[in-house]
Amino acid sequence: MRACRIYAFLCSLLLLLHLTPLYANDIQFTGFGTAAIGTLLGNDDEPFVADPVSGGVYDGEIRFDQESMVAVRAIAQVNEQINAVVQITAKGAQHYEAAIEWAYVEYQLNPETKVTAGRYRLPLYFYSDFLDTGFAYHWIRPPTDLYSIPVSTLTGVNVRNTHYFGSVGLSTQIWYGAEKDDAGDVVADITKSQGINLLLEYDWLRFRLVHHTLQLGIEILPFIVDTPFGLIQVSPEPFKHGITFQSAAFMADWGNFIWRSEYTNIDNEGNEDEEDSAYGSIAYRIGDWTPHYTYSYFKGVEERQTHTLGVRWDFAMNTSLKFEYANQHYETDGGDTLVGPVDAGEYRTEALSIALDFIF
Amino acid sequence: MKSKLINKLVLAILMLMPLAVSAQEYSVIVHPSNEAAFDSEEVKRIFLVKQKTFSNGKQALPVSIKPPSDKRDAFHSKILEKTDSQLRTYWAMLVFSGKAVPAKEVENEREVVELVATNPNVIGYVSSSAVNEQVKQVLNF
Repeated sequence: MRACRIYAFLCSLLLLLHLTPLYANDIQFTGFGTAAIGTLLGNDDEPFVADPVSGGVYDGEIRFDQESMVAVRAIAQVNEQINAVVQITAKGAQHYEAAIEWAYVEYQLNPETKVTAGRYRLPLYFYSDFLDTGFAYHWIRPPTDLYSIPVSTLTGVNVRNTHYFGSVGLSTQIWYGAEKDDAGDVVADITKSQGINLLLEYDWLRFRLVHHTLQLGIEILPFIVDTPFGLIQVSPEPFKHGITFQSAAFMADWGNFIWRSEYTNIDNEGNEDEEDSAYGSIAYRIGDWTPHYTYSYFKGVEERQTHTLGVRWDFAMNTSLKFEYANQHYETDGGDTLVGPVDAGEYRTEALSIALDFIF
Repeated sequence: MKSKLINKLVLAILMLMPLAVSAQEYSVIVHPSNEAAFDSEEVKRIFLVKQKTFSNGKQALPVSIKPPSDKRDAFHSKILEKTDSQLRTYWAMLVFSGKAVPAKEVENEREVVELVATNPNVIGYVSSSAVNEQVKQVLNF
């Protein structure tokens, strides 16, 4: 009886091994990238943060690597219902070290519902799912005053459903997961990350709502401080607190006219003040050209306001060239932020950047 | 009397004009067993992969024709109401967000008719002259 079972197991294993190469042929590769140049207009200007996730920053020099990146995605069809997806990204701001940003298995429960397990994009913002795919939006980067959270991925599960009630579409996504981000001296431990994201679509209008909560644990490795009494080692106490993130967005695509707006509120138990950020962006397509203007702000311990003026030129198939000017005002009375204390200060900085976006 | 005749003549010419302008007619086709309701908005949502099912709840599989194709161009401008560059940006958004893949593309309208005739989930577009008894015409454009 037992031998029979082992035999059956071996047979099915052999069958599986035999079948695997058949499916392995169904791997699709696709990808995207950006080659960007940027600099500050004034030599003495304060740095301009271009990518809060990778840490891309423009300074007084002409920089080529801060927003340049390439990503390759492989999608393997395991069977009719299951796909395995991997996306490998290399970013200039991170010395082109290959990072696996996406690695998940998705199961098509029915034509309208997908279950995903693994490492995927944390769907905080409207552009989160295709954050680095510059080709898919009019800016070089979504407004950084709002897209300021340094974490963009989560490991866990999520369920996505899209259903049309007559001509009104409703997409619902719920997720749960955890993620540990080791940035050298600081380890961010995100747990109980859960949320719901609703997208309502009607003709050329889209509304989006997000409610998200998580536990953020921060461990700071011991560091040495030079004091009048000599060098002393500081070992900060690790801490953990709850964060609530809420967001609303309104988008319109009417003929050649494009309107984008998002608002977010972050309530951090560890901070006294809530953080608010928002932007409004208007663009108009004229043939291959899309000029645009965006106003964005961030209000917390620090306050930032940015005016962004730019143009996208679709000069060749699957390639676009963008020119952008950003004028940012920064002001703070000083205080404690999530990443440490800041001193009072005020400045204005102007950044100029050019980017070539492509998809393949 | 004479002006009335001229009026009638003008009216007749005006009525014939749309025919003269769109000499080539195109049709959206589905399997004969597909009883779902269709209008241009619904077909648009299905081809933009926003809506994944027909109005009867069955899975919808849109099939497009590879460029260059007059059928494709007419479908994009009249039904999808999007330019090529708008569509490329739209697909980049959907594909790279991992939400959906564009409609399957075939070489010509003969293949569209074959696919529609053999699969109740498939929906496609062809020139009206290519419509035969194996498929059901649900929309003209």
